[in-house]
Amino acid sequence: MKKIKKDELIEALSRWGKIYLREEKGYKEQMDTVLFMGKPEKSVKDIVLPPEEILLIYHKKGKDIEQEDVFDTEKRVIFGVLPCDVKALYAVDRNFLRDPQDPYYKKRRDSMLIVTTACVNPDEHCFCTSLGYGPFEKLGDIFVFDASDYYLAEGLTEKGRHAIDWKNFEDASEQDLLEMKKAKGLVENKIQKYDLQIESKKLYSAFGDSIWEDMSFRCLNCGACTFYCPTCYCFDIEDVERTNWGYRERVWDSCMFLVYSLETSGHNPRQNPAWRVRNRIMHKFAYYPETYGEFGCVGCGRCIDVCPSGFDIREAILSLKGMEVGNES
Amino acid sequence: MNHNPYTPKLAILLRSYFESDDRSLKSFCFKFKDESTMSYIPGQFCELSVFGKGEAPFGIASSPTEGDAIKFTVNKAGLVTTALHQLEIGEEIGIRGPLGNGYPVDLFEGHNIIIVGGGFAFATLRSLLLYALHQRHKFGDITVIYGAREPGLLLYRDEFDEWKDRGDVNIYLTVDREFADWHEKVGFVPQVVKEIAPSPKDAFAVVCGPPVMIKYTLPVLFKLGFARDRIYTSLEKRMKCGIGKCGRCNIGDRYICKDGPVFSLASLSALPEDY
Repeated sequence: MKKIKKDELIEALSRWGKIYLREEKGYKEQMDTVLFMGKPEKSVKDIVLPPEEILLIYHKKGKDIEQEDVFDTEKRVIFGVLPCDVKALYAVDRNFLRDPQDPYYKKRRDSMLIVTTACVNPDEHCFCTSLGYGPFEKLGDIFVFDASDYYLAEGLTEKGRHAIDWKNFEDASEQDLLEMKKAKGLVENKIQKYDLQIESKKLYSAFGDSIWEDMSFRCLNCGACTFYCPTCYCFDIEDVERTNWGYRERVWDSCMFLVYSLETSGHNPRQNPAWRVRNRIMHKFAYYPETYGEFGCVGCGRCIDVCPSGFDIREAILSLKGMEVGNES
Repeated sequence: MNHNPYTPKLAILLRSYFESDDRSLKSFCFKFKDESTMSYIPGQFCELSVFGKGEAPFGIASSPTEGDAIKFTVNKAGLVTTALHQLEIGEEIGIRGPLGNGYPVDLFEGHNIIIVGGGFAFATLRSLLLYALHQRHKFGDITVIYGAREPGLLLYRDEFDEWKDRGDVNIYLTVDREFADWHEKVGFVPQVVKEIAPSPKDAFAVVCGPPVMIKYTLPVLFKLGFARDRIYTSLEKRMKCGIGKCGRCNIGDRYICKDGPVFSLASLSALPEDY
């Protein structure tokens, strides 16, 4: 690892692209060296998959139509990304980058450099260590550890190794690395561990059970959990019409909403709010793992932070794990 | 950069006509503006864009054996379908497709086919039927059981007359109750299937229609001896992106738009009952 003065690292990275820093509300465009200490309200999802984005613009000329695609290729350095948010970004990547690739996502993603910082300030809703990784996980293009006046930094990917001229900076000392190791142990101990490793088989067998009704009793189906969730990527596509022109945009959607699955015929396979909660939980812990071999939840705890009625996904998984299967509703 | 899967190809409306007496069902034939053609198999679908109104998925009603024009039959129900109904000849829309898997037509070859349809879900069944009739020698007996609430809501009535005249396909039409001048069957589709009792031997059944029709037809087919891997259906869900990204059409870890819309009952029974 290298030892780099904070302003020097930011300065060097700013030559790669616009700097976005971890702030209280999210990762925001700003040149500074002071990072928000805790978990930002919103994740990197808001940048890579914005709540609204224009996909194409069309013009009408008589009966003729002309259309052009709109891409975002601005170079961005997202600095200070927490390991959970990087893990979540990878989860979203798998959806958009698998065949057929989503070109809007791909272009924006390729124009991003992810600089991860070790997480030193987890809160009571964090549970990354229950999902098989931790707050000091070396993820992203560059990994950094905040050592008060300096950053200890390391390029992890091809992109990260070429982002700055690493040989201009001195190596971190044994003492520096020891400090980092010490901090890692301290932070990991702060995060409470739960036994959340659940097999998708177990969830599939619970599909028709009444447990979902009990679990979702308090849920208002407001969708806040899905909008704040860094791995929820569901979207809708809508047209906006102006006189003789208009555009098509992608907007976030949520499986918590009644209309999400409502068909034109009036049929709705997820009419019951409990079935919508079931879909959210099963997507994270059964469907996504079936497809990609990893959980679709990263344990950032944002769904717990924002839920107005106190739904806790940790409790949900624990109660599913503990249930006896076979009690059909 | 590869082709952008979200970019519709512009297509021109060649002709359109009402299929039902109540004018709720209308067929549309399009050709691509750049004169290109689309290769597809029966059972696949497209996302049709009316620019400014939006996109919606529709099963392809034409058969690839019919020529280059692509046909859709659309029930006027929402924003996009209403805009489609109002299109004038020569107007342009966008088409993305073909999407989804389609019927396993190669697997069906050499077998008897029983096509069971209800209401306006007959569109992709028309595609399948025409595909099979085009290469009639490759298939065994072909039986079609098709029902609607009333005679005026049956799709493709002129064509049904032609198909009946061919003599190499068994066609049974039915409506829910008695009507003056109606000389075909009367009763719900499941009852008619029961009455005709097609043999499961060397046969595949393809069932498309409203959920309630499918629900009551399947037990009849099971009783007749059709195995789950010999019954196919095409599912509907609120598909949007059509390429397995937007999330809304999932059943378990599968997406109807990408892994379907055609499923055998055997493959469906491995998935949660979420449709």
